[in-house]
Amino acid sequence: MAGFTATLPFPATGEAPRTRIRVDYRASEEAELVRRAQARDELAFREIVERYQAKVYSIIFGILRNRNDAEDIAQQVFAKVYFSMGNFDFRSSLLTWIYKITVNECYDYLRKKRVRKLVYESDFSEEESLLMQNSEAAMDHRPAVDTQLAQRDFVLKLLAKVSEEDRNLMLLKEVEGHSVEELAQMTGMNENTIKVKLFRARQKLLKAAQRLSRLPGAAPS
Amino acid sequence: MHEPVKEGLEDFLRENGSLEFAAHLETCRECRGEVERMREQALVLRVLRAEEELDPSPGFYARVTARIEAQSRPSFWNVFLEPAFGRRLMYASLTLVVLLGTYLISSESSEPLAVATTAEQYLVEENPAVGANPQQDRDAVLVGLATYNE
Repeated sequence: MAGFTATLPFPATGEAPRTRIRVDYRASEEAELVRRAQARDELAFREIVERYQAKVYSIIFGILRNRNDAEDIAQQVFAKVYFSMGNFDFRSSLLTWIYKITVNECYDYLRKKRVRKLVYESDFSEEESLLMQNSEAAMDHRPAVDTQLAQRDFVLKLLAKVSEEDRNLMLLKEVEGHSVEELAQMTGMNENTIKVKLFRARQKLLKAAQRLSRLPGAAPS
Repeated sequence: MHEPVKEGLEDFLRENGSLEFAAHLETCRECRGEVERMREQALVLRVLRAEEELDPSPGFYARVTARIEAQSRPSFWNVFLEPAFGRRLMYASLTLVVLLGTYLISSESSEPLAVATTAEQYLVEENPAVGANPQQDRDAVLVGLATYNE
C-alpha cells in the first residue's frame, strides 16, 4: 500500500489542492442577451429560442424517442424559460439552466404518462414502427429495437431514482459528453466537487440498478 | 473504493486514465470490479443520446409564443383564486350560514309553544268559567282534553 501511494502523482493523505474555476456569467457575451430577455425584449427571447431550440429538441428526443412528444415538451420548455427568466441568476451558463428545465420537463411528462412498463406496450414513434416493420433491422449491427426500448426504459427508471442534481450531472457527463472541466465551468462548481458528485451519483445508480435487477422483468438482458 | 481511484475515475472512464490508476486496478480486485460496473453503466446511459442534432418542425417559435400567450391569459376560474374575491366569498358564505342557522333554530323553538298555547287557549275558550268550582273545573278540563283535536 505504501509503495502504491508513493507512485501516485497526487497526495494520498490530506485534502487535494482545490482547483477553483469561477466563471462570471454576468460578464459573458450571452449575459446581455439574457438581461434583455429578462426585460421582456421579444427579439432577445426569440434569439435565445432559435439558438437553443435544436439542442433542446434533440435532448428531449434522445430521452423520449417520439417527435410529437418532443415538440410539445420543447415548446413547454421555452414557455417555462420565458416565465422563469427573471429567476436566472447567472450562477451557471444559460445552457445549463435550460438543460435542467428540459430534463425536468421530460421527467414530469414521464411521471404523468406513468411509464412504468416497457415502452413497446404503449404507442410507438414513427421511427420505431418503421424499424420494426423493416427487415433490415435484423441485419443491422445495432441491437434489436425491442432491446433498445428495454434499455432506454431501464435507464430512465434508474435515473428517476437519483436526485435532480445527480441526474442532470450524469446526463451532462455521459449523454452530452462534457468533460469534468467543462461541467465545472458550466455549473460554477469546482472540479473536485464535480468529481465527488459524479462518483456518488454513479454509486447510487449502481445500487439502484441492483435493486431494479431483482424485480422480475425490470432489467434488460 | 480507494481514494486515489475515486480521483482518477473520470479520466479513466474517458479512456484517459493514468498508468498508476491502471496499475492499481490490476492489483485491487474490489476497485477493479466496481470501476468495471461503472464503466458499463456509463455506456448504457448513452442510449439516451440522440444520434444527431435534430430541428423541430418549421414555425416552432410561433408555436412557443402562442403557448406563452395561452398560459398568460387569465382563465375565468382564476377569479376565484384572487385573494380579495376569495375573502369576500368567504365572508358572504359565513354570513349566509349564520343567518340560515339562526332561522332554523328560531323556527324550531317556536313550534311547541304554539301547540301549548293552542291547547290552553282551547281549554280557556271552552271553559270560560274555570275557577268557580274546583270539582266542576276538573271535570271540565278532563272533558276538554279528551275532546281536544289539533
